[in-house]
Amino acid sequence: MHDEFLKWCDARIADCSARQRILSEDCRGDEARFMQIRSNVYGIFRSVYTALDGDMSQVLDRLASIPAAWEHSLAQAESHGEAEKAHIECIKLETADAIQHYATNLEAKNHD
Amino acid sequence: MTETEALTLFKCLADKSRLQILKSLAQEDMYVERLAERLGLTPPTISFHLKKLSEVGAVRSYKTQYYTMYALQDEVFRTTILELLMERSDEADLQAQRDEAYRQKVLKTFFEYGKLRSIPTQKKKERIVLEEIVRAFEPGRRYTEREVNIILADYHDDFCTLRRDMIGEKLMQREQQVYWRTASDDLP
Repeated sequence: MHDEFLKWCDARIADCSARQRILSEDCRGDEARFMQIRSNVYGIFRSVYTALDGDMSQVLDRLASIPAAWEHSLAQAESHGEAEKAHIECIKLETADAIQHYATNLEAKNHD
Repeated sequence: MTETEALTLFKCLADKSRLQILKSLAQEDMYVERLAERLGLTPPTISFHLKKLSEVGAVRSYKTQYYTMYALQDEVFRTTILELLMERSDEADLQAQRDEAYRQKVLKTFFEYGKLRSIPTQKKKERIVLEEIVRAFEPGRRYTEREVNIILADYHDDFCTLRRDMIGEKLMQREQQVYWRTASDDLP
């Protein structure tokens, strides 16, 4: 298991929580909620990683399959003009993309 | 603006980023990227906020050659808070029902078999009681003080207080010992 991946996820979650708190205190409720959503996405893939006993190749598979549903939701929201839902799906996809990027690099580094 | 519209608008405005966007638009019309740069937010976040502001009618957009520009919807902000408070409440009927229920409760408490148990000390309750008693007087008819006293004495022994308070509450009027019931149109 890559402790590095878990540490990275924990750091991202902590960062999101800190930003969320600042945004809430600054009366930016929606942006604080979006930060919570980011944090949740990191949490999801942290759990996936743990459940798969740190098998990074399987995690990378999930990083492709789980966001596919979000892409579908995004398309649905856009076609129905639901801006808020579309924005939330974008945030989830953006976060998943960042995780995938990190995980891919980590996997490549470990194979070198 | 209806009560529901006002609530939606206030909820939408209770956000610092949206307030900052409005402040920028109050200076000049802007496009998404310009607002994003100015406010240090991402363009998608700005778009999200602009969409919310558009939904409540706070901003409008128009197309130019290269950009979709956003502008403040001036009319919305010209409405004063006092004007909003003066609007008829969406809950007016419900409030009227509650007021009537309260009135009935007061009458039930202070009247027994058509007689007044006691004169309420609370002004609001006394007003309700007096409004009920004043129905005993025919609208438009003139009464002598003696006639007024006789009618009021049927309700309570302290008819002097009732008579004085009827005048004080402007439910009855008096001129040279002659009394008459205030026309409902003249009531405050």
